[in-house]
Amino acid sequence: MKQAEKLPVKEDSKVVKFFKRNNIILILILVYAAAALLASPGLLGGKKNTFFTVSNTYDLLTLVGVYGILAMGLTFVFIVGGIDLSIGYQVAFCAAIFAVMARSGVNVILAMVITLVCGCAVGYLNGTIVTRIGIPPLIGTLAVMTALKGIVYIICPDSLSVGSATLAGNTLSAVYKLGGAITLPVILIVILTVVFTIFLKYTVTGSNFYITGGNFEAGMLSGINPNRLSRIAYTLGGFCSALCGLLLCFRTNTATYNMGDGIDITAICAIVVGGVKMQGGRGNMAMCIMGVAVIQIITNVMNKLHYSTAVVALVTGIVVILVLILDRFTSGRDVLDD
Amino acid sequence: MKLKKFFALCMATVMAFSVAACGGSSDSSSDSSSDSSGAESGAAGGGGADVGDVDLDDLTIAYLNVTDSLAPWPQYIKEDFQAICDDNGWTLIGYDGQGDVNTQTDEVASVISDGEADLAVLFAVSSDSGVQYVQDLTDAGIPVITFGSDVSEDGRSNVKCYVGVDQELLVDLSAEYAIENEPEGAKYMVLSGFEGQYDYIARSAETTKVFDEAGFEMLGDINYCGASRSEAADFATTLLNQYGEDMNFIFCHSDEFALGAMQAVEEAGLTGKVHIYSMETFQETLPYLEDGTISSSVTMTSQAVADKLGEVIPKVMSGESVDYDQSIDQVLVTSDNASEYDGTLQY
Amino acid sequence: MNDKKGLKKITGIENFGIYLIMLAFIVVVILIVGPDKFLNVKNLTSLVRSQAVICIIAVAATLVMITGNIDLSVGWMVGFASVIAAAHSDNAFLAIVLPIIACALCGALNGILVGGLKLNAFITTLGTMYVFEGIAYLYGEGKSLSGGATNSAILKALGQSSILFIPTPVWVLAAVAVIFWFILRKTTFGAKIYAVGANKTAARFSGVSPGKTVFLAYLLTGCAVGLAGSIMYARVMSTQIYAGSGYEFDVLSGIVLGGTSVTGGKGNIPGTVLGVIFIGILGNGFTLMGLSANVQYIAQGIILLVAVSADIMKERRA
Repeated sequence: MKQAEKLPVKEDSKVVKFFKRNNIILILILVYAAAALLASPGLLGGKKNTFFTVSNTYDLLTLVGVYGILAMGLTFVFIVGGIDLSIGYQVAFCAAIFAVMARSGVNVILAMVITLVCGCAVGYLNGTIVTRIGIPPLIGTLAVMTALKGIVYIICPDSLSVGSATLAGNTLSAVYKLGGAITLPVILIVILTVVFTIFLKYTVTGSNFYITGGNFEAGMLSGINPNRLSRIAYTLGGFCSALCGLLLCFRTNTATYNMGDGIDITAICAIVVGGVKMQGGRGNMAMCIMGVAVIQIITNVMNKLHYSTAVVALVTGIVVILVLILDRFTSGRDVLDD
Repeated sequence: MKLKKFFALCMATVMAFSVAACGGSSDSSSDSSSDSSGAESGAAGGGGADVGDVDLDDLTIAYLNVTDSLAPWPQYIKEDFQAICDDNGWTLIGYDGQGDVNTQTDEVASVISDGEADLAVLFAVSSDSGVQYVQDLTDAGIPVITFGSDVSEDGRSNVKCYVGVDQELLVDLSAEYAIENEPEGAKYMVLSGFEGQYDYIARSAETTKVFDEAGFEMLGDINYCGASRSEAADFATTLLNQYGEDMNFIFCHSDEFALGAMQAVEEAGLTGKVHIYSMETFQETLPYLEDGTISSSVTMTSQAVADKLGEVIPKVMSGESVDYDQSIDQVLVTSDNASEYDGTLQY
Repeated sequence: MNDKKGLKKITGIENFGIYLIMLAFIVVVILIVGPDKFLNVKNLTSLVRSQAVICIIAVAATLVMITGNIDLSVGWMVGFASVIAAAHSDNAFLAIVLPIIACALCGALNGILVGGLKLNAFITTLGTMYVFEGIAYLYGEGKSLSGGATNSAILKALGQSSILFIPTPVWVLAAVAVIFWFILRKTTFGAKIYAVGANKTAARFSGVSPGKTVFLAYLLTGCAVGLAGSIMYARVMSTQIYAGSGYEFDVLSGIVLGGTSVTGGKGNIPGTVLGVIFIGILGNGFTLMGLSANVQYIAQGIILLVAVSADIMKERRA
């Protein structure tokens, strides 16, 4: 009771409130500043600063682009309160079938369309398993992940080159770099961010995603079909995985069996750092991109400073946990008492 | 809402400023890409970027390893090569590919944008994506030497030379010894490493081919054990339970698995009846090779690769032409010559 | 009927449908491979032994699952434990106790974060997974990962010997399973675990501290993972730092096949043991049939789907 009386007195200012809700902005600025500082010569850096350069900034943008697209798909799934463990193998699967088609001389555009359709199909399958059968998403997508792993290993035993496939007269890796330093994924992610943000904010389907994830029963009562919306979200997830698979395949003209290993876990961590809630109902594309940026900046600057993989993993883990703790203490009381 | 837009604007300004502020210090990559036009060196050696004026005593080498931790062999090559670099006063910048093609792609981009390296030595995660890596590095004016595993044929014109092992020869040497010693129509099982890794795939293909030609029968499928000795022991135990003495020998794609197989054979009480043929000789297996518990192995020493790298790098950097194929010596080790190798192996 | 009820009461297994599906698969394996090859003592014991490490971890992690949480960090934790065991392989006491202590600390960290600070278990243990990966590599670098001549005889016995024709790791597994079964079914702590998993708020009102219960569950899991790490090393006296990566999903599959619910409140130890061993049977069966691991992955995924959906269908009808 005492607490309840005190509450109205301690009204947070607008700025504080804003940052409590969007602490990812502060985190991103802090991490970027810290990275730039640490990489400067004299502190921990070497002879010259290789992080804070134009060319590395372009590299960073590319990284955010490639892995951000995957994370965006997962953001949809998170918003409706689901999880998809299979995105990593979806990426490998899509890259593999694309490479198989491209090397056997199928028109590249057609192959891309088929790949995207396949990605959507796997996503839809996930959605169906979760909503129609009612298997918890964690287990359903784990099963799909295991099965996809087997399929990927069969299609692509080690690595598959796209062969002499070309798109409009350019090799695929040349298409990837057609924009010079602004690579294909950077262009794509800008477009997708705009499209997806409009979708989530200004379309009925999109805004109903939040109701689905926030409160399933309320959604049912208010006349929307949460199951159908979940399926759409998983399908969008599959689409994004396929797109990521295509990009990864484009940039080296190759698909490999382990193309999706690890990037799924990184994507999960990234969007959580960004502030997207695993319980559903909260998150947007800006958060997702900023989360991915934070993780990529950390990995990038640690690599530039030539730390071993072990240190990179350790720091990434600590950052994820710290962000979770920070989030815990800055979010509202309703979340605290779940 | 206003606040949000304000901060978005701030972020954008900060980013733009940061790009502008450090504009002067970079752009080495775009400068150097222009002077790679005359990339043909032809001759007996491979092609790739022209070597500029580099002070051999102040060489910076980007060392793109397949993995620093997942397998001992590349790990030890790096250690041995580091020692050679220290002796010569070369700076080695190590990149850990983590056995992952995406990681290595990012690292290649990083080497190019840093513009610090005079030379790249590459152990590609995938021979196909390796084609793109050597292309990109050459475009940026960085000469490339591959080691450990070669890139696919399309990319070899961008590579100065390849220092490494011949996967087929590795299998052939041990398999021929097995064919000599085993009866006609012998039955065998195979223990291999990481599923999907090119070197084990190559070894598996060669194994099947050689033994098919000899008329031997494979029991079960090829068993992939990762790098796990216990998994090798488990696979061997399972098939030994099933076939017992019907199995003539176990063919292992690394001594790691030979040691696991040896334990399984011992537990099944079949020592001496089921033979073990292997490759990638370890220090740990030498005593067993000597007393014949393991019939054969083939050397593939990390030191040899590192030495060879140390030997060809000065040649490449001074513009001398070198033979493309710089494979290391691979020797069959049996009870006859096992003692010669004692103390020369790293692991 | 009475028998079944009795069995239910002792084991805690509520749903037998999932086991029927597993049984059906086993029959298929037997029919293809032949009963003499599959159902001999040697094959079965080696099969259980090959799953002992995962099974010990899964048994302990079942506790965490029943509280409605999850532990994805066990894979790297067990790798870390095995490296510690390798570094002290000349002294059996240290090689067994140190991994347990180290992993107990890891478990305690998970426990504090998830139980104490009430963070989301999935993401938190993904984060600690990275942390343990980093620690394991930093610790393991430069350490010999196979002991060679200096291995302690007791440690060797732990991993490689047999007692009454049954491999020692299987005995250890049995002991761990009985202990955890006892904790879960016969102690008040066990009752608390179920209560917290079923309904946190109700549990809190009835005087159970969810935070403390979850913390202890993670701590116990850590201890068991440490022990599993020692066994993993002792099996062949060699290990790799990343040897356990990917185990988290095997463990999760096994636990779920065993009838434990991911949302908490439901689950049992014997089921988990059966679930993990079933995955072993899958691998064993495919090896015996001469099929590659790829087909095994596909089958494992499909079986997991079928088994869990059968379970859900049955619940819906009831």
